[in-house]
Amino acid sequence: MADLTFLTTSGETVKRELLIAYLHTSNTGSNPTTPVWSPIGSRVTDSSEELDWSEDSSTDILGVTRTTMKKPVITQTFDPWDLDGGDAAILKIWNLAIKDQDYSALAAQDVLIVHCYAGASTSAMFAERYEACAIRPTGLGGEGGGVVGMPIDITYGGKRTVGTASISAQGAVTFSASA
Amino acid sequence: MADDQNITLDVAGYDIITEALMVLLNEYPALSNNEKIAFATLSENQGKAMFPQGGAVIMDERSDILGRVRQTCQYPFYMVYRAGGLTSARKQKVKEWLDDLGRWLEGQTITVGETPYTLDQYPELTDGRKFRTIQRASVAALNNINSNNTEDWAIAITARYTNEFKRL
Repeated sequence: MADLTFLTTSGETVKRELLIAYLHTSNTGSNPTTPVWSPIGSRVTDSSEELDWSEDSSTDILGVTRTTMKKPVITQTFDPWDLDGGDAAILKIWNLAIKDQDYSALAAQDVLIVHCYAGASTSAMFAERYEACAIRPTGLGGEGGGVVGMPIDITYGGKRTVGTASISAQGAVTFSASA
Repeated sequence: MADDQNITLDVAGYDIITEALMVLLNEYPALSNNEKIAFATLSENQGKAMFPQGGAVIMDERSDILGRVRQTCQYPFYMVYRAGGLTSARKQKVKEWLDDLGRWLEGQTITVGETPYTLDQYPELTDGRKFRTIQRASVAALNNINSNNTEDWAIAITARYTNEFKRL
């Protein structure tokens, strides 16, 4: 894939909502293989991907420093993540984690990261799909008079497929893998 | 030294909250059949009215990572009960009427006659707004004695609500 350009105006910073992670939430129903992508992070005010490159530096006896790196392990925390019956992503994770305690399924979640600020056009935005992400709820509760939250940690993993995504006016996401 | 703290108003929310509060206040079980709570209007000799105190103020605003904005706002107002020729016992009744209104709006159970009443839910709002709490900010007290010897008893109440929308 050739280098991409940003779709945003030169000189302007990129709005945070142009980087969105989506969870594949259509594992049930008549056609479970057709992805329905639901955004993760409603009401989450601050969340970033953390990239661990397994960096290792050493200096030889001649004083030359060399550094090795590996493909990054990407993790991301969504905290707090408030329960909302209209949020398909949190509903799916709640069912897997709290109702079923299905740790195998939680470790194999399909997540799509859409970089809405980069790509050839707004109908072909850069996206990366991780087919076996580990999603780990780290709590469930909240203070009196408040709301129930379920913060999660995601470790992106499994097969990585890059491609392009488009988002309809109704918010439906379509992902196309690069050839 | 002047207070330079910025105050941001939820201008559109003011009308929505006012309308909803007027409907809610007029459902107060202690109102008699023909009684109405008016908006910012009292006759010379008697009446009950709601007076907004300023506007609907945005207390907090946060944006989520998906681009949705959640504002926490408050709408303070006074409920005023005007009456004349009040005896000591009648003054006590007026004060109880206002205090019970505050308790009822908070969701506490009040008793009118022999019947207990509890407000189950706040009215639905439009345009992404939702009532969170309505609480007393003071106890009912004598606020003013007018030139015709009528008395204005008042209680301060604050409605808190959230407003969620997607900002461009």
